[in-house]
Amino acid sequence: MDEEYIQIFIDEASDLISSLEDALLTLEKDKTNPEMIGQVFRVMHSLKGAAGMFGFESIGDFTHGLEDIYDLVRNGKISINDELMEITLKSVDHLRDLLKDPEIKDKNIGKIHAGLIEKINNLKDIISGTIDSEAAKDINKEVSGKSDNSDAIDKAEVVSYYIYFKPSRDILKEGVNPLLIISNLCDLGLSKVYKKIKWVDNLKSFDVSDSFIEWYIFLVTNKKEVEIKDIFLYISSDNEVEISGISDTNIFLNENKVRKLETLFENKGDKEIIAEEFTEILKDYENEEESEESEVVNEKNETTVKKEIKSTIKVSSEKLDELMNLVSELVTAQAELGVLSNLHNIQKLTTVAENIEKISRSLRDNALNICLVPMEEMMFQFKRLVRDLSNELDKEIVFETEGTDTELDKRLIENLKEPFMHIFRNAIDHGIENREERISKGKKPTGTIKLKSYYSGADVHIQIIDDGKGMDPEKIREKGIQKKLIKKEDELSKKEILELIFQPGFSTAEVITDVSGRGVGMDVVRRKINEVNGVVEVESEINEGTTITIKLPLSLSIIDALLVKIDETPFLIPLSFVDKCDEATSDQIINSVNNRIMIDGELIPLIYLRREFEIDKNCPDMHRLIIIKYNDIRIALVVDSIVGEHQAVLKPLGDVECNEEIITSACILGDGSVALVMDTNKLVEYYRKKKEELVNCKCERINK
Amino acid sequence: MAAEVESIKKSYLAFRLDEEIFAVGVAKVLEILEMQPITKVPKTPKYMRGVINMRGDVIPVIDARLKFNMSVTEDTIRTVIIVLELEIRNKKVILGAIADSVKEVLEISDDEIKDVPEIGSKYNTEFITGMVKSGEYFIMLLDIDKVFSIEDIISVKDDNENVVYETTDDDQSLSESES
Amino acid sequence: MNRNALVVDDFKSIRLVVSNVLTKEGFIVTMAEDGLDALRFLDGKIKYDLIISDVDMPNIDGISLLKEIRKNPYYKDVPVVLLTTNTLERKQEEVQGLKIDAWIKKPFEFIKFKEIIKTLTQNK
Repeated sequence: MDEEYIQIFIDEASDLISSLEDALLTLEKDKTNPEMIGQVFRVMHSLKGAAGMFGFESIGDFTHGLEDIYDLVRNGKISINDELMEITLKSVDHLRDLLKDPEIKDKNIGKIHAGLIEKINNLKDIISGTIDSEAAKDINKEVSGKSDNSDAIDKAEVVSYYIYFKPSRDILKEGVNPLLIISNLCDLGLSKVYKKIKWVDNLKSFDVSDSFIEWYIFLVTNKKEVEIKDIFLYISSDNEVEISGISDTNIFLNENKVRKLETLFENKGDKEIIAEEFTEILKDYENEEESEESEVVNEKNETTVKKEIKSTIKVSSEKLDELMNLVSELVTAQAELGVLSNLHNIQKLTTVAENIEKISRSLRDNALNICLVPMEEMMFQFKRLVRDLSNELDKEIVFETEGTDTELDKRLIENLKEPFMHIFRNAIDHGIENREERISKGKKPTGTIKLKSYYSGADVHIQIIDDGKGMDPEKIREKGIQKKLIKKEDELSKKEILELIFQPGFSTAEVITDVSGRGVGMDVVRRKINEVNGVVEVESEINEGTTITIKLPLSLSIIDALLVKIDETPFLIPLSFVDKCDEATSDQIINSVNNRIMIDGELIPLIYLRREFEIDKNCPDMHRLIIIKYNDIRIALVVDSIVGEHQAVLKPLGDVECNEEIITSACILGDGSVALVMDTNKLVEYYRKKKEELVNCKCERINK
Repeated sequence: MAAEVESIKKSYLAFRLDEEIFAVGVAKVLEILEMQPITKVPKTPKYMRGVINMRGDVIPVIDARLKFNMSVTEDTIRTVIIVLELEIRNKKVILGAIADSVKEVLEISDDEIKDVPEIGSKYNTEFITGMVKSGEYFIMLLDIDKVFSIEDIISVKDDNENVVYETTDDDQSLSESES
Repeated sequence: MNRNALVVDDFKSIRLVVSNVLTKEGFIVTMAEDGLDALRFLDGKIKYDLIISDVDMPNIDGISLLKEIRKNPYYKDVPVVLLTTNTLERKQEEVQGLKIDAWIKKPFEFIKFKEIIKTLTQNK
């Protein structure tokens, strides 16, 4: 078979395994979540089927046992316990290994393989034992009543079924326990079960292992008919089974009918008679419910329609890169066309140019979107890590996330896995204290690690915040001296001391544990993040915790921006930060009190860019104000003129040294000249810092 | 056989800065561009003239005169931007350097190159590898990687704080002289 | 003349592999990722000479899809091949009365698969 298909299978299987892991982690918190149980089962099942097709027989064999167990879970026969959870999660890891080494060449993997299979089989044996004994207790007892998932049933839309089940006479000899089938049926929802026993005519020929029972079951469930049928899958066709949907509502809600049905089954008749009367009762029932029913049906249709058909394809990142490059080139070419059409002012040309601009804009947006994935996609790994490590280290940790819908370039996410894992390890291992220690410190016994991400300007900021013991600057300092990273006499600020953790060869761990502090350190984290043009910073307070902040470029290589000019220099301000535009005279700007200006009845700070950028030439009389949003504050940027909106293909500025990195990138305009892209957040921060310094200066002077 | 005895000749691009002629190995030269509008980037050292568009890429342009402590002059039609590919701290860097004019491409063999006298040289001998006499001129051969790695222009981002920027007053005087 | 086939499987890799075989056999293949998706292509616009479907799929499974196909006047006579992971015999009763042209249990060999396809489509 083609390598290509095998690769597709591997990619697909990896995704499936990841979704399996995610489902398991949800399940761990909510052990009865039927959706997740179904998901786990389905993944196992389809993995089993597909793996064999692509020469991954080991996966097929391996998932088989687990599939069986989760089938039982799914049918409510057993519930998930910690042991099963642990084995399944280990199996997930193992499945990933098997995907890499399907022939189990690695001896270690072989050992794990055998070990896990043994555990799974043991578990299966234990489970089937308990089911049998439970079922035995139920013999001769009428099975009826509510099952555990009745709550779910109340809420969801339900359908009522009538099921007639007459096992063949030989069913017990075939090793099938009909009571199990009945109990499985009952687990699907609310049920009423009536049994009838047809006594044998000739007691002499009576065989104890023959079956004479028939059941009449009313089932109200949100499950599909297929799922009911599934329960009867394992019995031969000699058994009589009839399943019919009788109502789109919960028939048990009508007490009157229920009573009628009950009396019906108490009278001993045979199947045909019962069926006849039964239809009568149902007819009544239907008439009564008709008006309501039509409503219910409508709702149902609506939900069916809402079900979206979503299909995804996988594309290699090289292809995406190529697409993005082409789109960038197109956008640049389109800008040139725009300039040309303005120059010549030919109506037809202008129309075409405008049209192409529109198309290239939406093409660009689409292409960009393709490359972006929400942070959410990498969360399951962290959830897993936090869970495993906290178990291993016997710490109680809650993992919280915020803003995981923040989208990042997929390639960025790939590069970030490793550094993130490391930061998490550090937080769990060295950050969060164990329960006793936390209690003695008067903190919540359970530690928290929070991953928070949000957009900030052209950046995405991701913070990993723990409420652990924090870092002791004194200890870091000592270690720094010991490792000869700093000299004893060096006077360092706290920030500078904390920065030491990013130095190669620095590890804050007092004891080297299995988890972290082995070779790779925060220096690797910083290097990896720098590689993708990101920045990593640390803040820490003793006993309050540590916050690692990672600032990443959105890596959106194209943005919408407002093109403005100061003297001859074109600048671009990302449109996403622009609130509105206004104007003001030179006098208003220069003579503004305290650098503030009245906009919409609000006095807002202004940044006079000519002054900040030290451009004095050709100062116009009228200035344009670009009101930008900085967090929640509005700030006016003063420029000379506004040219218009522009789709900016961001280019790195090359190795230009720029103070405070206010200008982060550049863009080539339609006429070939270079415009500078302003990072408004950095600009405001820079301005603010400068202001503070100024205030401090003034204070000093006054003090003197 | 005879050819092997002769020492191998290397190509150098000679350019003029003020009254001096410098040369760099052509291997370092990517392109020679005519003078074109340069976008000045705010808050950069003053030898940074700005950035230009080189076939779709944005590259920084520095004023070589200022780099060699020469006075600023008006650009002329002969003024060129020499696009260089340098290796600075193991990193490939592309930048444009403004020179007054390009003189010629010279073939120079190693034995023609003379040492730079330690005393009496106007320039930091650290980045001049040697001198060659060509007609009436002395051409100074530049170790161009060193020219731009010493002290400034390209400083590793971590060193940000250490870079001293021009004070506002100086810049104002500069812009006055420009205008 | 070109023949059309519809391949339904929630596993893309299987979808592709099966389609690849069919393409080599001269089919023009439409792919759907589950029963619900497949129904979109069963709108009477394309005439299929062969439908191959997985059984266990989300949304609408293979058996329900088969039922829909048999109900549909346009497609009721199209040869349908079901791919199944297990419980091959056991599901048979569920599909009693439904015309199934072949069952193939996964994993299967493509040589056999081709034979089945050939016999099925040559009969017509």
